[in-house]
Amino acid sequence: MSQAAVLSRALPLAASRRVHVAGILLWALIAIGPLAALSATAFASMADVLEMAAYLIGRRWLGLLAKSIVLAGAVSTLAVALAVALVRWTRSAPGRVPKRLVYLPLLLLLVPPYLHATAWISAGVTVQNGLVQIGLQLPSVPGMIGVVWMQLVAVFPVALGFTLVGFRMTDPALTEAGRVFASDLVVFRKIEWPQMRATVLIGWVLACLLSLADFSVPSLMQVEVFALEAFVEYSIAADEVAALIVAFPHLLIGLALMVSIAAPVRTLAIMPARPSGAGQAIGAATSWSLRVPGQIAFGFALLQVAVPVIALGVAALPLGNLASSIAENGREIVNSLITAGFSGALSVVFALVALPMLTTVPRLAVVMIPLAVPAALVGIGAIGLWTLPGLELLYNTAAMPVLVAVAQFSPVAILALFVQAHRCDRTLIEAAQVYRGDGLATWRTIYLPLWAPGLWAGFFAVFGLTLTELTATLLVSPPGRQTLTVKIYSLLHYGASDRVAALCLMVLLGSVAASAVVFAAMAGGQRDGRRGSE
Amino acid sequence: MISAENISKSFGAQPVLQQLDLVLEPGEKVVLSGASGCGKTTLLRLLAGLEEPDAGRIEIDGQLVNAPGLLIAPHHRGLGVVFQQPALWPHLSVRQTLDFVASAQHQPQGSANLSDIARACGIEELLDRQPNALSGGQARRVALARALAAGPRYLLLDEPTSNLDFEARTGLNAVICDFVAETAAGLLYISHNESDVSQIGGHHVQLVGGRITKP
Repeated sequence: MSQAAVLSRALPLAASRRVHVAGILLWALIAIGPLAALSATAFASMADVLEMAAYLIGRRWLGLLAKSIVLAGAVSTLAVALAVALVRWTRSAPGRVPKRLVYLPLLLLLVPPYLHATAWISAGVTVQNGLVQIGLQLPSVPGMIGVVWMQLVAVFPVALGFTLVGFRMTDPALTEAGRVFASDLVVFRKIEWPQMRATVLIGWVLACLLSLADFSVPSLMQVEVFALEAFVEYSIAADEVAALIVAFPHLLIGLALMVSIAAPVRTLAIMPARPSGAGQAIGAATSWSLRVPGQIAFGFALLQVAVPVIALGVAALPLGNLASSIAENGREIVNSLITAGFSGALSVVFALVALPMLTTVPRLAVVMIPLAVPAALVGIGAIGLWTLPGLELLYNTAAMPVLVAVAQFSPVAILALFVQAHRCDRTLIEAAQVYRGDGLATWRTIYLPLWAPGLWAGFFAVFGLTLTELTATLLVSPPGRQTLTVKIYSLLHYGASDRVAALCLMVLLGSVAASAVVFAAMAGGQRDGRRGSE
Repeated sequence: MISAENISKSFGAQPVLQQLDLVLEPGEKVVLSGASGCGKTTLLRLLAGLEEPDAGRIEIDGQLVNAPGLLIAPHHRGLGVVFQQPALWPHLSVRQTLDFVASAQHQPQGSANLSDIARACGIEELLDRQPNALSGGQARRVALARALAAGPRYLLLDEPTSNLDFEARTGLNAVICDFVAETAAGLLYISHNESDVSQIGGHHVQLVGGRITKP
């Protein structure tokens, strides 16, 4: 028995511990390096920072921050409320159709807010034109209402996804037992909600962060929000320290929210996939207080899916337009696919490297930090980092959009693998360790197939998110390496709506396909994980 | 010989094993019983190298495998383990599972030997099935076949016949006894069931208060 046979008690290592540590350091350089580089620059000029902070705080800054927090809070709370109402209703709704359709909005999980906004604006214009022809006119929608609505449809799939997971963790037998003694609403409050609230909280936090970080919809609706400030500050003067100061409260809020969900994320990962009997139907809800909100939420969900598909589809017709758009933007399409593919692959490698190290909640929280960093800061920080002496080789190359995508989204791949690895029956891993150890054959034959759903889900989640990423890519794209999203954003601001629709439809289809793979993989992974212990 | 000396193990503030001693000779059969939660599975996992003891040392065939700061990997211990759950890899067929385990043994295991094991365990007809196409009893037989395919010097079985009817239980126990008789492997067999105790024979010990006692 050699010294190499001494076993690590964490999940298996893919290579030697040194290789894992080197991989983690590389990940930290790419994912946390941009923020660290920005912070270092700020610390180096601390006197200027304080002066600048005083100047910026004296401006309209705090009011804008408050407005953005209220907006994000309202959007995420509404999204979660609709998701909870929808899922609770479909769980006891008669017939299979609502139970199946409830999953449909998840296909739009990776569709960015500006695509929803484009679709809804396009639909609004079509309806308005139709009404004008019969002598009617819609009242104009205030910009802020429009922003709330469009961000709501954009973040709804996130809230819905976690609510569905939360409900799957509740035991129908407990619900049924409660219904013998109390009304549906009381049973929901006292029995179901306590079982699912930690998971729903994760959905709320992520929806809140997405809304807080989004400036694409507000800028289209000409509403000022805090997220735009850092971007504008940098665009005006190329002053990264000013951008950091402006985005600092946003960063702090994001970090606090991320840390707050690290423990629930870990709990979610290590809990059994679902209790025995989960998925069993619950008798029809008798209380209108559950039924009516559920039906309203169902209508919202159908609209949320139908409008982007129909509006962009109709606007992109005839098919010749779509074909010519593809031909015209071939270079952007290829750039987008290559960037997204490399980002997904690199993130999956980092996920394998990080997995055995994620043994505590603080470590998990560290991995989630990049999700809290505003995209503008990632882009600005990446410019600072990758122009440092010794690192400037990659600057202004096609690697830059990949690096900023990995910086932002690799935690998603890491979390997908973390969840999959912990959902897999631990004895399947232990059985392999008893008979073959952690060698290459075990990795190839046991670990990778068992974790494949998490790896695929991570790859396609990062792929889809990168495909639609705008802010950081806009800042670091080298000349001649524009992605499709950047092209769409430029066209939107020049008002070329006819050409935009076809491009948006392409991105929409790409995002939907990526989302579909993510969910298929995770559903398959959940089945396999359960099967092992049966 | 497996020799565990002064083994202690706690989970948080809860002591499970306290200065436990156990010896298992090649060819010897030991049936271990005890109340639920008394630490039987923990003891098996310690011997297999899936847990580390807080104190004490474990030797297998004269080789120190567990001591403070030392943990020899499970696959270097020459063991066959059947877990409480079958723990069959869901993406591998029965044949692939047996091949995967057998190919790790640096001895001429060969397909003939695997066929013998499959026949003995009554899974010849199941070789091309996936685990999700097996009944509970079939899965347990495959789990045992996997342990035997490893060519172990010691078998550690954690309630391998739980949830099986009397006939299936008797059949599986006969396979285990035959293997031990043929290969002189040591056997540690955890069970609550009286019929298992009588069918396996050998020594019957109990785990009480974190230590091994005679019933």
